[in-house]
Amino acid sequence: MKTSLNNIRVIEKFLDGSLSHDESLKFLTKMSSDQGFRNILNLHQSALALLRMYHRKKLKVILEDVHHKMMTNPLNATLAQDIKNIFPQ
Amino acid sequence: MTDLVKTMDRDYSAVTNSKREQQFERLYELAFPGVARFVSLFSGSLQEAKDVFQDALIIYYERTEDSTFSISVPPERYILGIAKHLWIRKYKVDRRSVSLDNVDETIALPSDFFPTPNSIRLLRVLEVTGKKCLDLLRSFYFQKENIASIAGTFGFTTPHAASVQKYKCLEKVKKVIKGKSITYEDFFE
Repeated sequence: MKTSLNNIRVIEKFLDGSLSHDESLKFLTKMSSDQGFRNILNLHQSALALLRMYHRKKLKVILEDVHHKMMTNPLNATLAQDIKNIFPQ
Repeated sequence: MTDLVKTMDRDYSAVTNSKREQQFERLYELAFPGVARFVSLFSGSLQEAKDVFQDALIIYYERTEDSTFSISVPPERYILGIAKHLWIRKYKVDRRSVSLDNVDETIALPSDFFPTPNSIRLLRVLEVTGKKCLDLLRSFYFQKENIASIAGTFGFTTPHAASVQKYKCLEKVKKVIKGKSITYEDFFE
C-alpha cells in the first residue's frame, strides 16, 4: 500500500510538532480509530529511523577523517601528544 | 547558551561539509582529552575512547540542531557527560562507580541510538540496493537541504522532479522495511 502524499505531509507535521491544536486532535482521533493509519505512521517512523541510522553512519565516516587529521597533522601536535600521554603505547 | 552552540544552531542548512568538519575539529580539541582521560581511568583503550567520544559528539551535534536545546556548561563538559552515560550503557558498568554530577544526571541518551542487529542488516540491504535514495532522503530529512538544492546536487532538471523522486525513494525504503516485517519497535534495543 502506498502512502499518500497527504498522509506523509500530515504525519511529518505531527512528528515535528507543527500541527495546530485542532489538527493534532484530529490526528490523534484518527490514530486511535484507524488501524490502517497507525500502520502507515509506524512504517513512516521506521523509515525515518533507518534514515537516521544512515545519517549517523555517515557522520561517523566524517569523524574518522577528522580523528585521523587531528592525530597526524602537525598543527594539532599538542592534542595528539595529550592523547599519547593518556594512552602510552 | 555557549557561543559554540549558537554557531552550530545557526542556519544549519547553510552549513557546508567543510564548516561542519571545522566544528568537529574544534570539539575534538576541546573535548576529546577529557573523554580519553575518563576512558583510561576505566582501563579502556584509545580505540574505545575514540568510539565513545565520536558517539557522544554525534549525540551532542544532533542536540544542537534542536532550537530548544540549551546548556549552562561548556560543550566539552556536556560531551563528557554523554560519554559517561555511553560508557555505562556500552560496558554495563555499575553507575555508582562512575562519578556523575548534577549536570551528568540531567543527560539522557537518545532512545534510538542503539540499533538492533535486524535494523543494521536492513540498512546494509538498502545501502547496496538504494544508496542514491538513502543519500537523497538524508539530504532532505537530516541535512535540511531544500528541494531546489537537492535537485542541483542529485542532477534533477527541476525541483518538482526531485520532489517526485524523494517520494519514490521514501516508498522504496518503506517497501524494504515492510518486506522484512520489521516494525518501529523492532528497530532499537
